[in-house]
Amino acid sequence: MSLSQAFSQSLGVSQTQGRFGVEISDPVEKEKRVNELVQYMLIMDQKKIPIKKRDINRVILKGQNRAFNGVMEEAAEKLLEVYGFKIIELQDKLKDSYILVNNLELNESQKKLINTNQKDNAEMGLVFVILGMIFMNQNVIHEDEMWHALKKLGIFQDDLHSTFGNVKNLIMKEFVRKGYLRTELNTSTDPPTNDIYWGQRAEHEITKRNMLSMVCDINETQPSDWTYQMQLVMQEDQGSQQQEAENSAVPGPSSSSR
Amino acid sequence: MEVFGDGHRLFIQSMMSRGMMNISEVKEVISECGLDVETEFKDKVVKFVRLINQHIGPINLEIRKGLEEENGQPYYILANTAETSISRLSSTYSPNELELFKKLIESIVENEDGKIGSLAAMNLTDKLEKKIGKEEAENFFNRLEDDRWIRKNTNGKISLSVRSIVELDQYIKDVYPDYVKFCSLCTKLCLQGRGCENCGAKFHIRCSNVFFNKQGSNKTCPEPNCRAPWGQVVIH
Ligand SMILES: [Zn+2]
Ligand SMILES: [Zn+2]
Repeated sequence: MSLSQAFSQSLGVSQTQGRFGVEISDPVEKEKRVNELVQYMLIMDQKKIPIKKRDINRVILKGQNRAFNGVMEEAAEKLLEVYGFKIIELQDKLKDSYILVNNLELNESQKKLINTNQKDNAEMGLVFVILGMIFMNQNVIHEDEMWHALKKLGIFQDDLHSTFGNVKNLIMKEFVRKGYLRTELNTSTDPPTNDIYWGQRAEHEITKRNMLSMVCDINETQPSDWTYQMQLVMQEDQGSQQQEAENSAVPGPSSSSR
Repeated sequence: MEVFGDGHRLFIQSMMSRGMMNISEVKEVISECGLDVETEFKDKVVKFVRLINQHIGPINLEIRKGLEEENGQPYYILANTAETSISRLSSTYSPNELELFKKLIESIVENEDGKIGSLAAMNLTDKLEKKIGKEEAENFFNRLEDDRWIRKNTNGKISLSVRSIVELDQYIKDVYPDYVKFCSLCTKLCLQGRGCENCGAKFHIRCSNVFFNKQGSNKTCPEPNCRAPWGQVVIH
């Protein structure tokens, strides 16, 4: 499998579909669109809101929708090779939208170099706390349970918070929109309440292993005390090992594959 | 030959997050990027940045070196080389906030000393078609300062930082050709500096300090066609 085929697969573009797509015939014109798409993805990603295929077609391809796969494939390659970002196509309700995930393996001091906005960092701290709660609660938490737990941190759903402002909107709308959380309306309760799960961005950005060791550090327990969570960590490790084995089976440009 | 690798990618990501870095920040980041900064630092930075610029050029980005007008400190800045550089900010600020930023740039460029008082800056909101409240405007100016587009000095006066000067260089030249002045010594845009009372030429503080130091005791205007005696230093 070549690198470009690997990209096609990760973008969910099958070879047959590709054949029906229409390439932009002028190479200079295509190069221009690819660069514009790279720039567009980098700018839009700063807000962490998934980038819609519809918007890419409108803003970058200006209606030449059938060139999408070809242009996207090359843009994905540049984003990885030059900027160290992987493009992820989201699934289910977020289908036809994309996020960038950092492909660099960074230690803590390196992470600080790229997260310099204090407000963003505070919000990420809150995201981590909630994701940790969900994970330790076997992958789902009811909204009222979450608010109850957040009270201990001085966060109240109906109050304006000094750092987060309208914290209810931030958690239930913004974090969901950014793909960190996913909510499902649970109608078995009266009145219906929201169940909160990890969102797709969280699944791609954060490993279960890191999450478990972080939670254990905070409440001074051992990862092995948490049987269910350890199982999920093992499953995740197996999954990534499998992927690595598939990747390393092909000779080719290795600077980007890990 | 230096090979483009994860260190360069990390530096680009860091630059995209910060917008600009001073020399000690560059040193810190580059050493986290896996380069030994203890020897031949200057030489290594030049090569490192040049290789990055070759890679980011296609999307109209370039890391440039610039000097802060007020204190002459050098900085590295991630600049957009396309003409529409102010539009790149549109992902960060709302259209109305951008209008206010443009008004701020306008009055700073039009002021001879390259600064504007905080009260005058607040009053710019009256010139907007779509009104912005005073508190909202103050928050916005604070954000511009946090994002290092503007600087506030101890008297609360606002000036454009080196990031704005480098990034918005072309925009300012294009939109305010009648107001902009260029330093006669380095030929670059000069908003804050010293002026000659005789010929009206303008110089960066740092550029003219270097010039006067070389001249010794008989100081004259650095402008070749003027050379009027430089009595007392006039700071506009
Ligand atoms: Zn100068
Ligand atoms: Zn003169």
